[in-house]
Amino acid sequence: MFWSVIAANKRKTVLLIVLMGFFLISSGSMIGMALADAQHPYAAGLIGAAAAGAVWVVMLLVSLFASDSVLLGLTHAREVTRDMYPQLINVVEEMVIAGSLPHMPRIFVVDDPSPNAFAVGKSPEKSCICVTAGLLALCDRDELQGVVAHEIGHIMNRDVLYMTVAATMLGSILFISDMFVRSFRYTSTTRLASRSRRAGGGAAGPLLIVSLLLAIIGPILARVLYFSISRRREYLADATSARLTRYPEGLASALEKIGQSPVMLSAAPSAVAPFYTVNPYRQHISSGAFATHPPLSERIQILRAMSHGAGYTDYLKAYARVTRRRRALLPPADLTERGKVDIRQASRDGCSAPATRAESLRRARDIIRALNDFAFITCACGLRIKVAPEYPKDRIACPRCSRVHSVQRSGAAAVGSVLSASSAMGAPAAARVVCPDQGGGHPSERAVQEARFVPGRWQKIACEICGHGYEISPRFSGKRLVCSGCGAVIRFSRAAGQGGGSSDISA
Amino acid sequence: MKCPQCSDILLTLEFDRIEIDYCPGCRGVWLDAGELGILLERDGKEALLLSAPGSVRRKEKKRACPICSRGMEKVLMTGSDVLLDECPSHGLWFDGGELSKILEAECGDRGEEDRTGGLARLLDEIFTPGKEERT
Ligand SMILES: [Zn+2]
Ligand SMILES: [Zn+2]
Ligand SMILES: [Zn+2]
Ligand SMILES: [Zn+2]
Ligand SMILES: [Zn+2]
Repeated sequence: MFWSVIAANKRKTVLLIVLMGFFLISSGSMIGMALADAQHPYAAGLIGAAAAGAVWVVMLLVSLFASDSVLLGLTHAREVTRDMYPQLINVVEEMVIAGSLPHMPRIFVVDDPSPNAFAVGKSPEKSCICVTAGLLALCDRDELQGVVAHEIGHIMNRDVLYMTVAATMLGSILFISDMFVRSFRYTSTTRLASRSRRAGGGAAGPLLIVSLLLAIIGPILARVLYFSISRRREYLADATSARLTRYPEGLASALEKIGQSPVMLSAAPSAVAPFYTVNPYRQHISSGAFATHPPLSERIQILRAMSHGAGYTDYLKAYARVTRRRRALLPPADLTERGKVDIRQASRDGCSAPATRAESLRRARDIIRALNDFAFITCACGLRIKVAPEYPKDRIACPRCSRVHSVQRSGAAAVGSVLSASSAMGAPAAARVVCPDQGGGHPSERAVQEARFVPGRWQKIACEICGHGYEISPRFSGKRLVCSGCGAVIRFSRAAGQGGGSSDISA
Repeated sequence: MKCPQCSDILLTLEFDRIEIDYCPGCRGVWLDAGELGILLERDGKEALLLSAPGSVRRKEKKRACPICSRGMEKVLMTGSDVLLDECPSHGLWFDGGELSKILEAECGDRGEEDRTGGLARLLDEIFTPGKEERT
């Protein structure tokens, strides 16, 4: 445990809350005064300050009491159990014991193909670890353990407390200045014009400039403050990871794989970015004061330079050697390590052949989808259809063979069926089919109707069987359409003479 | 996820361990960067056959990436005039017309050199079943 780091994180959190409160309230009052009528600038300033203060209090309460649910909600993470991801749960348990955390964190998985992980929670008692489906698919056991231990490190060092508060505060600043910029754009065209004509307003001009400056500098300041601080903590979490796993190569190789992965973190909201093991926006913000994370190559190099042991002292030595930085990562008083920590043997199970990777990504994502209320349909033609909960209709025609299926959302049962289906993986898709078979049959035996299609303009047609209507875009160049109401095939003959619709699936 | 063209809700289709997202409204197809990665690993570089991104200037309106909603770049599939939309971080979008072009090319050129690569083959397999019976 790095006591000075923990204390510093707590201190910084309080300082940040106070500073942000001051900043929000003063800019709120300025904005209020700038936007007010010339007669009552101070009353409006007070109202602005009160509004900003209210926002601050709400943000503070949220960041201290509901931050984990907000952050996990933003990323659509789902809590998982041992039967879904046994290896993940085991690895977390081992690291919790190694780090002697008072509580087992809750474990979440995000449906995201890009490999990454983060932790949230204001104390070790109430923490959550979140990994992406992509990470589970990419990493073997040692690598997963390295990443999980890095997150445990953040929890132990109270980094997540500070980051949670900072993320919420940053969000509120951006929100307020955004509101200001919008209202300024609006009033500058209307009210300002009339005000300057009356030549009144007194302090309105300078006030406007000051508050405009605030609105510009505020977000930059908040970002610099928040991003620049989160770099040292990454090194320390890496050190903790090496120490807890006694195997620095695990994290090093995970980071390397993550760095080479072509996939970016998709739906991650920017406020969550600093939480991740690896910056999800690495292509856009790569270095400098705006980088939330030290360069990956450097982190990997340090971990690989730990050839003599896996202790904190070994990490610090490697850090000094690789980065050539004079300033130590930690004050010497924090190093209470006694004796030497040996590096353990690799426990590689070497299971990341392409086929199994595709499969485990599929499985990892399907479980999360089932938890998120997707419906799963396996068609007799071998196609699996996964229907999002937002999908409005309750019947679907298979895009491959046009069989019509009804969409049934089975909730918890879907998770079970995904689990059992994926344990039976290996059989070819068509052999595992469960077909509801409504109006099935080979596509060539299905009802086919003809419709005239005039390219170059919008037109409406209706299915002769079920009456379902379609608007056909002028750019539509297909030769047939499968009615999503009944599954019948509507075949188009081209009016403009460019070849009749002769070749369709049954041709 | 919503269709970048007609904002219908996309359906996720899995075939041969690859997933695509399909718009039932306009028959467009979204291929996630994660799936592209798997295709790349499995079938090698020729699976994708994309020319350099951003190299095509077209008047066609930019579509928004269904994941990050930034404007996507227009890219050409090598050896064809199929124009795709690409978000460099998130994936590829084939609109309905482009998809049927690929499928037609596949049906027409069968027997000749297969220049459209594994990606087109996959799409062809998904959307035209019973090919074995035809040949
Ligand atoms: Zn980290
Ligand atoms: Zn089917
Ligand atoms: Zn119909
Ligand atoms: Zn669409
Ligand atoms: Zn995107």
